[in-house]
Amino acid sequence: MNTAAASTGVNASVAGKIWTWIMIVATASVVLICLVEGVNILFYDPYEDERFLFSLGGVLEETGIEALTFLMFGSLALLLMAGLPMAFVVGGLGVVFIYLVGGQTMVNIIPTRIFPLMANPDLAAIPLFIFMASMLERAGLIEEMFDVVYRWLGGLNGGLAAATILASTILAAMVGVIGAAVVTMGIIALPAMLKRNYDQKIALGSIMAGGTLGILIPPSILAILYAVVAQQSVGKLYLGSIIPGLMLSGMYVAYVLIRTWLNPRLGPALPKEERLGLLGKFKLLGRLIAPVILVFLVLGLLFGGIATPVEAAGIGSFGAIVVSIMHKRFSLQSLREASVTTARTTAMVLWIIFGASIFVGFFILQGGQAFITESILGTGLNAYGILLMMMIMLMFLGMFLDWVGILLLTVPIFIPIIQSLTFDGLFGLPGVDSNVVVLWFGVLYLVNMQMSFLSPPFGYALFYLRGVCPPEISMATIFKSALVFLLIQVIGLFLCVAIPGIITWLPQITYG
Amino acid sequence: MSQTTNFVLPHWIYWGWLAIMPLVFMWFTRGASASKTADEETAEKVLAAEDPVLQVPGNAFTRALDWVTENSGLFVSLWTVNAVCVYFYEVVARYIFDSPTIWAHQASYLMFGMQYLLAGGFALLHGDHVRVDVVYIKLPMRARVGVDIFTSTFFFIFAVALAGSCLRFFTDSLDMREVTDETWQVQFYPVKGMMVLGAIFLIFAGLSKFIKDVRLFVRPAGSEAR
Repeated sequence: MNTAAASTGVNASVAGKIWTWIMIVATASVVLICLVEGVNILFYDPYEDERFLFSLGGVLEETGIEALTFLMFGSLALLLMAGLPMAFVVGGLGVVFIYLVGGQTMVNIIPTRIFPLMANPDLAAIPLFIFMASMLERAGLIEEMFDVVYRWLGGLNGGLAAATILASTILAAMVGVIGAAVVTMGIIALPAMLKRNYDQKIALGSIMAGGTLGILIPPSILAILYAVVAQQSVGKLYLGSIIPGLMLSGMYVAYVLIRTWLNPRLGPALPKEERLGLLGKFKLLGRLIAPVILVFLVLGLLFGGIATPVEAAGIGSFGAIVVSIMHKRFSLQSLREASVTTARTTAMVLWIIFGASIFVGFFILQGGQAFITESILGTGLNAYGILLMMMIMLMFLGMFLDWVGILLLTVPIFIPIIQSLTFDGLFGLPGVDSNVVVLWFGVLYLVNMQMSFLSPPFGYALFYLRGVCPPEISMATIFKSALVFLLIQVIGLFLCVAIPGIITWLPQITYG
Repeated sequence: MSQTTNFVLPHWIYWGWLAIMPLVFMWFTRGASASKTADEETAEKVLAAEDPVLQVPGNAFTRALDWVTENSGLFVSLWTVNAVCVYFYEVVARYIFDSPTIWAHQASYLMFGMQYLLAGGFALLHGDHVRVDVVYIKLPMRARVGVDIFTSTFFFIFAVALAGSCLRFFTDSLDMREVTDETWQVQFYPVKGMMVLGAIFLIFAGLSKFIKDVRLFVRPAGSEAR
């Protein structure tokens, strides 16, 4: 036994040595090239022909866009797989390709791509909504909301699961991110459901599906980003995503209630003695007043045209601070922690945007946009075929990539294609007006991205939930429980495609 | 309504406040123990399982780098509180006192713009920048460290190119004493200067991670204990 262990140890160390040397040689060669280029940039005039040793600046200048597309996205896939954070993959490759095609003078376009994003008035809503969510979470609002809703629905079969989804839906109308909802529900709702012998899959699935609604139901930060990239109005996108969000929430609840009605053992109702009388239920509602006012304040200001999304976010954050004072959870320390969380999350999102805008901006500058459009239109598919293809592509990317990255990589390329198509409607149903096509696609995109949080193997909701699950629940169970809700999501997405009115009705009656 | 009586934030107060307010706030909350919410703790647990470097103590040099990153990050984070108050003030001023300001929006979004850039290194220090972990998470610890060392070359290409090109962008703006187009006309060049500083902070954080990676690679954790 000792010798066997020793020999595998030797084999492992030989393989390890080989990999070590491969790594060292690869790193050293990249560093060497960079040093030579560094000398070139610092000491040699870019407009003269003289170079130190060699220079790769501009070697790809004559390369066609087909080859460049494969090179750029091939190296992108490789580096992403190697685990370098997305922001630096796209940023680094952006710089490398700009240098290889345009030489050092072209590298100076980098700040001109980043600066407009820094000074973008609409993006300021992202940190503010994250701050608001973080403050509300610290005020203990999520627990309270779940508690109230669950006492209302406790008498139903599957009532706890339905309460989880409903509480998450209300929460989603206050915050634009998902982490807090999934984790907090995982901590409070999951033990409550498991204690009452709920089916694990229904319990886990309702937490994940409900929690991810935050990305769809306004105010969502993904919608803000889409609006900025696609140059749409944030308010219209928010209006468009209300009905799909509520529809999906309703479908989840319906699924849970039907399953538990057919088989009460999957989610038994509360025993009679634990239920509250009607009076007690109404007394409880008092505790929901503050959050409900906050929702109406933020969304009312937004849709009433009284405040811009950024201002609504600012007022919501202010309201969140007030709520936390009312709940006696406020301290300078909590303000500081909420600010730190906000800055870290925002920096993560924004640096991906910075990097990707360099990469994609350069790709479009080189004619990549036209190339992709031609290739896609050249397949001869009709408008809905192309849409289907895009949706499948987004779902596929959603399994691996972060939503910010997907947005920046695909939306600038997809939007012009979508604009050039006409959608006449499926199955004889009415189609989409050309003036709302981009808006419609935007909400389809949001619904699709909500799936990316749920889709194995790398949905965030799955991992967040895993982090707070009792150890006897395996990752495989979590994966399986997400699948049914993913299917519901696909049905919802299909409904939004087939009946565009679900999305476009509210914005059209409001804005005309 | 008379528009002349409106309060306009003087530029020097804006810059002075941004410089002093976080220091005061940090002084008042000094020594307070960190209280993390459940989802922050979970995120940290998930991240720590992913990147081995996050638990490595490092040496004196990396500790100095991390100190700079940590404190600069905390400093700029605290600006958020100002924006919350300023937007609230703006809406109240506009609807209740019918006197919109010319500075509230610009003051806030420029502040956030600087914050995004300056907090990049801070997020890197805490492992917040998301990665695609399809393959990465399956690798053994030492392989992850090795791959990180290789891919960090691309990180440095980006960070150094950013610092270099932003430096030029900044000096051009400084030479013109550039101000914004809108009525408030606040100085633009400090914002562009923060791009350079942000890139430098990013390099600091990246350098610290790189050194920790190399130390782990040369002497894997646990081998000393054996």
